[in-house]
Amino acid sequence: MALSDKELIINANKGDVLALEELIYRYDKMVLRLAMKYTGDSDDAKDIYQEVFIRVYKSLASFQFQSEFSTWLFRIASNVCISFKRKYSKQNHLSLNDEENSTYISEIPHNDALSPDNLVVNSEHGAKITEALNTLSPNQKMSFLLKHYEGYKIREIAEMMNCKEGTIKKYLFESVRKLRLQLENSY
Amino acid sequence: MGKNMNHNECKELIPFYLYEELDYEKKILFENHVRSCKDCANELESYKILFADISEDSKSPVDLKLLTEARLELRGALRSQQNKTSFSNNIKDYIFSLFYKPVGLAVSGFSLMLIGLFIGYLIFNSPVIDNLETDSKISDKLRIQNINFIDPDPSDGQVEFTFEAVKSGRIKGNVNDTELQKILTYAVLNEQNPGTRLNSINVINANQTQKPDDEIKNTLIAVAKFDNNPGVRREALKSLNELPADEDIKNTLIYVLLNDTSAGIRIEAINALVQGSKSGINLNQKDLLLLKEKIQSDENNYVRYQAKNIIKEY
Repeated sequence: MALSDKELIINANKGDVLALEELIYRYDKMVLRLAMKYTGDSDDAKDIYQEVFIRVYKSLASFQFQSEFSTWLFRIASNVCISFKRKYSKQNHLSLNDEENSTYISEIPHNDALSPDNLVVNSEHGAKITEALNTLSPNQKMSFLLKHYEGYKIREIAEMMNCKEGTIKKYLFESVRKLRLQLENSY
Repeated sequence: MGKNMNHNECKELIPFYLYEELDYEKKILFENHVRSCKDCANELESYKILFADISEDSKSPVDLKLLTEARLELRGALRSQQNKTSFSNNIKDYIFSLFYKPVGLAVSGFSLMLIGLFIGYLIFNSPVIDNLETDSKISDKLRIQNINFIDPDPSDGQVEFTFEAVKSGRIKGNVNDTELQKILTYAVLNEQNPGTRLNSINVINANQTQKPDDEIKNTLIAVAKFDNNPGVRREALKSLNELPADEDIKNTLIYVLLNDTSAGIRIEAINALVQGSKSGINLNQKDLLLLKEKIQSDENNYVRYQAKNIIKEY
């Protein structure tokens, strides 16, 4: 029988590396998906993923079991996402016909749709939704993703984002309104 | 809110109605209003379609290749964090040891002896395995390592420590054996010794008669991109070149070509791309653009020359 989160945390805090790994692998797909949807870029998503779990590793000993581990984890994830600064400017463009304007590889914008190791967006709607998400503010986007992609209750999202339920409702209302505007041709 | 709901109130509540986060009274008022108002009913339908599409999008699975890469990079980062922690623990232990009294030293010597006896008990009292192990069986012998003291102070007669009990195993079997392949794939990702990682890749490489397993392919891709040892990266790249060319492998070759600091490995990648472009790898506009950039930026003449040749062919 699989160990509970609590048992894994206790074992991990005793130095059991496998318990830590099992705990991470239990949730890391969700964190990576959230980061991917939040940034729209696979490299940025990997950076966020790593930062989240390094923070988990460093502060696991201080976890008091006052909330679910997943709530605590997503609180860290939302903090890391919202404060994340992109490494590269996304405004450079390359043209095949313009040699003089060619930029070095490190400066190529990390447009996910173009990246060789991108996350393929499965549907046309998926691509449109991702694009529309970029019009939201960081807090609106995070509350929207936690609600629609991770399925958390407003109360839980408020706990994760450390704000009142009323504030989350405003973020959600505004994000849905903006998304409808962005996608109005589709609906 | 009165007993009736107006349009604006209703429209503001649509998302929360669909989230099922309205209290009972509001839900009833909302449903009554929608039943009698065509405009709001249409609005609700349009939200339902939007939410259904978002829900569909939310079910798209995480890219396994990206996940493998992220895990590999995280493992490296955690390893370096753990090393930092062990180093600081060692210093702490050393400082504590300076304050031990002679009696404490005697007790700690005795405790260490007990620990030794305990470890000896675990090692030699484990189930005896027949020397003639059958193929694909892993023995139960335990090896104790990485003892880490939580409470090294023996003055109260108690000490506490953690340790890893590692099962040593031996496996002999067909190179295509699934269990054997699984262990080797794990070793390629996790073994600290680059020589072992290299040997593991070589064995995996010998398994080319079989249809390539996705897990093995993804592991080779991650290693070709991120292993810190150039020899291991090169070997992984060679193994990938033996697999039937596909989009993932092409993208890996391009990634290596753009990012690897070793000219030898970039040459390996560009050669594989030249070969691949003749045998079915399809380069798109974006790939050609990156190769064009490479012609200008790579410090290696051969890489630049070959990139130019590929572009000429298209």
